[in-house]
Amino acid sequence: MSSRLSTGGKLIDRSLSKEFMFNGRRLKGFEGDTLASALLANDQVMVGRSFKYHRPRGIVASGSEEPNALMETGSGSKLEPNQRATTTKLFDGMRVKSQNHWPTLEFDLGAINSTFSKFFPAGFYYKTFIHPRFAWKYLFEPIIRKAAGLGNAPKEKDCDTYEYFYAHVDLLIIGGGIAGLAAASSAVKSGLKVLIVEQNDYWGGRAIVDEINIENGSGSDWIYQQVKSLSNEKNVNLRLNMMAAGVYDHGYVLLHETLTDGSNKKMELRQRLWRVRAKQTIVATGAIERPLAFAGNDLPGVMLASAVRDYLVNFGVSCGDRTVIVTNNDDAYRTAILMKNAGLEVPCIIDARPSVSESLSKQVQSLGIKILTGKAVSTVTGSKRVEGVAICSHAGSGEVLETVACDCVAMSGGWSPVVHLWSHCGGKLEWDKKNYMFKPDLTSAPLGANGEGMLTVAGTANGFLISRDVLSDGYTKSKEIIKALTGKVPKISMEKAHSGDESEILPVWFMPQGATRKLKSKTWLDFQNDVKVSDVELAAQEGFESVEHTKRYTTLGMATDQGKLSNINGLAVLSNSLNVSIPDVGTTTFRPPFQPISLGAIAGEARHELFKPIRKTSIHNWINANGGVWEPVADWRRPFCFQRNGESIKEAVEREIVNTRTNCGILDASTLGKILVKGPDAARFLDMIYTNVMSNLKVGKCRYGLMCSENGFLSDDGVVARLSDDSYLCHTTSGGSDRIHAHMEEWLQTEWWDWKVYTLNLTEQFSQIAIVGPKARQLIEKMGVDGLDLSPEGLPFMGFSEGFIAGISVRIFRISFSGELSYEIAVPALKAQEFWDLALISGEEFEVMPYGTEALHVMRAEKGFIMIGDETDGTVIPQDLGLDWAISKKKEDFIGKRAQMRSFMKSENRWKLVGLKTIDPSVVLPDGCYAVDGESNSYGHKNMIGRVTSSYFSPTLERSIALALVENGPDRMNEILNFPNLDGSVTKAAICDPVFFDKEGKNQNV
Amino acid sequence: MSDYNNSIETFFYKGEITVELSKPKGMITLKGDLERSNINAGVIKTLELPMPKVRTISRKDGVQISWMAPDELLILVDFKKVEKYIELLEKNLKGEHYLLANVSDARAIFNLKGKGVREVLSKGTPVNMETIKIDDARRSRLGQLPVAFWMVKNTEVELVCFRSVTEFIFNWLKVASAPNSLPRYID
Repeated sequence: MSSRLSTGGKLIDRSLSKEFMFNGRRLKGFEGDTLASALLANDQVMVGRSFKYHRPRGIVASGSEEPNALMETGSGSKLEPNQRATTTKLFDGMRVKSQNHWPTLEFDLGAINSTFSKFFPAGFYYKTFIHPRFAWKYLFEPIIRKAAGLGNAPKEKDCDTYEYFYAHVDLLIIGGGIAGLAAASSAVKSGLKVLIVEQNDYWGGRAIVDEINIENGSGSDWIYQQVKSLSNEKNVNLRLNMMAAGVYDHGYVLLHETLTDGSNKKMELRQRLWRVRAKQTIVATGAIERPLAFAGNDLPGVMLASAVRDYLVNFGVSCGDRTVIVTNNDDAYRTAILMKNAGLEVPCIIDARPSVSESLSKQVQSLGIKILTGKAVSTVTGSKRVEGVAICSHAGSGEVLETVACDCVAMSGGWSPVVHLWSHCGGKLEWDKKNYMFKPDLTSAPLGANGEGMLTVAGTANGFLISRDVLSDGYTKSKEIIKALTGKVPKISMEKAHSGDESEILPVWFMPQGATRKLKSKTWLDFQNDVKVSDVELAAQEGFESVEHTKRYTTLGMATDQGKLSNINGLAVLSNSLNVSIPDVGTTTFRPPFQPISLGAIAGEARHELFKPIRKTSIHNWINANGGVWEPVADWRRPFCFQRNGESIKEAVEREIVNTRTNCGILDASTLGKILVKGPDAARFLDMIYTNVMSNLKVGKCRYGLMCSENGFLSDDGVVARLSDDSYLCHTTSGGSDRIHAHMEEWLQTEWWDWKVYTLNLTEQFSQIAIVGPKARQLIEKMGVDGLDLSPEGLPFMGFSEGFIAGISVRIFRISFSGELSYEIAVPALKAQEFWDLALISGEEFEVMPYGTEALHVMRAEKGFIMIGDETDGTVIPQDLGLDWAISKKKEDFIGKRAQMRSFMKSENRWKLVGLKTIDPSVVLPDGCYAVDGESNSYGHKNMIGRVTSSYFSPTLERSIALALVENGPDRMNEILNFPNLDGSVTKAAICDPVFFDKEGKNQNV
Repeated sequence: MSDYNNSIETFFYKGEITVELSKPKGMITLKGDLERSNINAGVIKTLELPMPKVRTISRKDGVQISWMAPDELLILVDFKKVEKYIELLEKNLKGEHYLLANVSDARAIFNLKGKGVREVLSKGTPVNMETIKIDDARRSRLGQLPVAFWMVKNTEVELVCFRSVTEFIFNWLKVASAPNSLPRYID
C-alpha cells in the first residue's frame, strides 16, 4: 500500500495537518502537500477512470505532466474541473471529487467499454458510426459524448477575479532549477533587468530530490544560497507559481501566475496573466521522464520512477511497500536506492539492457537489490491496482519467466527535454542519437524582430542529463546571452556540480521487443486519451504515415496533457511500424499553452461591468432615469423609446411618433459621427470620399452625401456642412464614426499622402440634440436665441448657423430625418444636459416629448429615407436605392466609381428599392422576409425575387409599411408579391413608391 | 435644475492608489507638421513653452503641450481660456496648414496618485511603466480602450480618455487598484 512514512518530506510541515474530503471520505494531509501526495499518503492509489475504456487509473507523475489524476475541486462558484492533483496545493477543508465514472470510482459501469475494447480501435468513430446517417447526430454522438470526457463544467459564475500584467525585461529566465538559477546569478552584475520564474512553489527543480553536489556542498544548500543572494539584487525579480504558457513573436511571453490555492471561500484575486516583452529569454525547463510501454502499464501503482522518489523525498510518502523498478537507463536506480534506504522493499530492478556497469548499479547491488538485466515486464498483474509483475526476456515475445509480487512499479524509459517553449515560436529540434530524445537544434532558434535568436535553451532542456553538464550549460548559455545584450562578456565564477558517469540508455519503446499483439493491445502510450501501442500500429497499417495524421486518427497526444508522456513513445512506435527512423517521422507541433490555463485568466478583468465598454452620451443618465428602453447602437446605448406608466413598448413608440408629427419631439442624436476635415485640399478630398460633389457646397450650407467602398458598395451616409473655405464637418452614422474616420485616414496616409488635409473625430466634443415637429421653431425661440435668425429665410432647409440658445453656444443645422420641421443643435457635450433640461421646460407648452430610435426609424421609413445597415448590407450600391441623384456624373473619379461601372453593377436585373403595402394593412411583414415568384430552381429552391429591408406599423398612416429590395422593383409598381412565412402561410403585399408620407416635403419646408 | 451629469464627486476611489476625475480642463488639438519651423514658432510663441520632445510633455503654470503624434499635439489650458488660446494660435499660425479644435468636452481626465500607480496601469497598458519618467507621455490603451497619459510625478499620472467611457475607465481603474491586488513587481 502507499502510505506516509514517519519521517522525511522536504516540502511538508508535519506540525500543520490538513483535513480534506475525497469523494466524501475524510482524509488527512500536511501543509505543503499536493493533492496527489496527500492522496497517496492515504493509500488512495486509484484516482480516476480513463477517457474511453473507463479503466482504473492512478497517479503516474509528480508534476504538470500528470495524465490521470484530474480532479474536480471546490464547489459552487469555486468549482473547478480537471485540476491536476500533482500541481494542486492541498488546503484545509478542501473538497475533491474524482471524474469520469458512474456511479462510483470503485464501481464504474462505463468500464464495460474495456471488455469491448477490440471494437474501439483507433479511428473507431470514423469506421463504426457511419450508417445510418441520421444516427450520428441523434444517437451515436450524444452517447459517446456522455461516455467519454473529463470533468463537468461549473454551473455557477466564477466568483474570483483575474487580471493581466504587462512587464518588460531584458532577460527572462523560465525555470528555477540549477541551470536557471545559474543563469540568473550570471546576470546579476550585468545591470540587466532579469525576471526568473518557476512553475512550482519552490526553487531547485529536480536537484532538490536527486541530491547532487555543487562545489563542496549539497545541491539544496547551493539553491538556497543562490535564491537568497538573488533576492537581494535590485535588478532581479524571482517569482514562484508562475508557469510559462507560451512564447510568441518578438519576445512576447505569456506567463500564468497562480496567486491563491482556492481555500478562501470569498472572492479573491486568483490568477494573473503576465504579458512579458523580453529582449532575450532563456528556457531552462528541464525534462520529463518517459514511461515504458508494457502490458498493464496503466494500472494504478505503475508510476514514473522519478515520481516515486519525488513523493518519498519531498512529501515523505511511500508509493508502495514493495516497489519493482523497470528501466532502460541508470536514473531509475536512484529510486531503488532511496526506497531501500527508507526501509522499503525493492524486490528487483528489471533492466532491459543486457549489462550495466556504472557506479549507480554497484551502489544498488551493495544494498542487496537484485538487478535482472536483459529482462522486461511481460505484464502487470492486478485488477484495480498493481499486485505483481510477470517478468520475461526483453528479447523475447513475453513468455513469463517468473512473477514477482509488488504493489508499486517504478518505470523509467529515459528523459525528454521540455522543448515546448523552444518550439512554440519556430525553434527546430534535432534527434540526440546518444540519449534517444529530441533536443533543441541550436542552429535554428526562434528569431526576433532583428532576425537573430530571441530565445535560447539551457541545462536539461538543452539535452544535458547529468548535473555537471546542466549547471555548466546554465552558465555558458547565460554568458552568451548577456554578451549579446550588453556587448560585454560577464565575469562570473562558474561553480561546478560533481556527478559520476552513467551507463548508456537502451532505446526501448515497448517491451518485450517481440511483444505479441495481445500484449500490445494492453500496452498504453497515451494514458489520458486511452491510446495503445496496437492503435498506433493499426494506424500505420492503415496508411497513416504522417505523424500529424496518426495523431488525429488515434488521438495520441491530443488530451489536455498534450501528450507530455506519450509523445516520443508514440512516435517511436510509429517509426518502428513504418520502418523509418524517429527523426524522419518527426514530431507534431507544440502549441501554447504549455499547460491548460483557465478561461478566467484569459478573460482577465474583462467581465461583469468591464466585459465590454459602453459609450454613454451626456444625456445617458437622464434617459436612464426617465423610462428609456435601451438598445445597443455600436458601442453606444440609445433609447429605443421612452416608456411611460403602464405603456407597452409599441404604444410608447406610436405616442412618440404621433406627438412628434403633431407637436414636437426631442431626440438625443449625440452618437452621430462628426469628423472635421480641414486643409487646402479638403474640398478635393471630400469629392473623392463622397459620391456627390462637395467642393461646390457653399459655406453655411449642408448637403446629404453618400460614401462607397472601393468596390462601389454603399458604406455610410450623412450630412456634410461647409464651415469655411477649407473646412467641413462630416456627419456619419452612429456606428460609422470610427470606421469612416479610419477610412479617411487610410486614404490620406497611403494614397493621397501629399494632399494637405487633416481630419479629426469630434464626435464626443458635441452633443447633438434634435428638436423636431411643427412646433420646433416656436420651442427654440422660447428658449431664447441670440445671434440666430430661425425664420424660414434666415435659416432655410439645409442651412446652418452659429449662435446662442438659452445662453449656450450652439451650431444649429436645419436638417430633417423625419420629414418634419427639424433642427439639429450641436452643443458642447458638457452643456448638453443643461440644454436638454431647458428645452424640456420651454417645450412644456408645446407638448414636447423625447423620442427614441424606433420612432426615428419609423418616421424616416414613412419618408422613404434609407438607413445604413437596414437598406444596405455591403452588397447594395446607391443606384439600387434610387440614389442616382447623389452620384456625380461630372466628377472624374470618386471612391467606388470604377466598381460601379462593372457589368453586374449596371445590370438591369438588380434588386432595387421600393415600398410595400400589405394587402391587409394591419399585418406587418417580418423584417428580412423574402418574396418568391412561385417557380423553383434546379435544386428545388423557390425563386426569390426580393427582400424586406425595413418593416413597421406606421401610426401616421395607420397601416403597415415596408421598404424592400425587389428585382426590377421600380418597374413593377402595384404588382402584388407573395412573402411566405415560417408557418407556411403567405403574406401578400403590393409594390408602391418608397415615400409613403408627404412626398412634396411641405411639412419640412415651413 | 436637475443635474444628471456624472458629477466629479462620484468618480473618486481610494484603493492601492487614489483615482479621481479631474475638473474639466481646456483641451485643444493641434494637427500640423511639427517639423515646420513656423508651426513650432507659432506654438512656442502662443503658449510660452518649449516644444515637447517625442513622447513627452512640456508644462508650466497650468499650461501644457503634450506630444501625441508626429503631426499632433494636445494643448491643455484653463477651461475658460480655450477660445482665447485658439484665437491666439490661429493668429500665430496664419498662413500655415493646420487643424485646431476645442476638444475639452470630448475627453475626461483622471488624476491617479499613489505608489502603486505604475503597477495599476501595467495591468492594462503595454507601456513599460517601469522606465517611464516624469513628463513622459504615452498614447496607448487601458484594457480595451484608448487612453493617453503622462507622468506628473514619480507616483502621479494624468490619464485622458474619451468622455463617453469615463465611467468604464473609472470602473476599470477601481478594479485594477483594489486593495492587495498589486503584484509588487515594480519598486
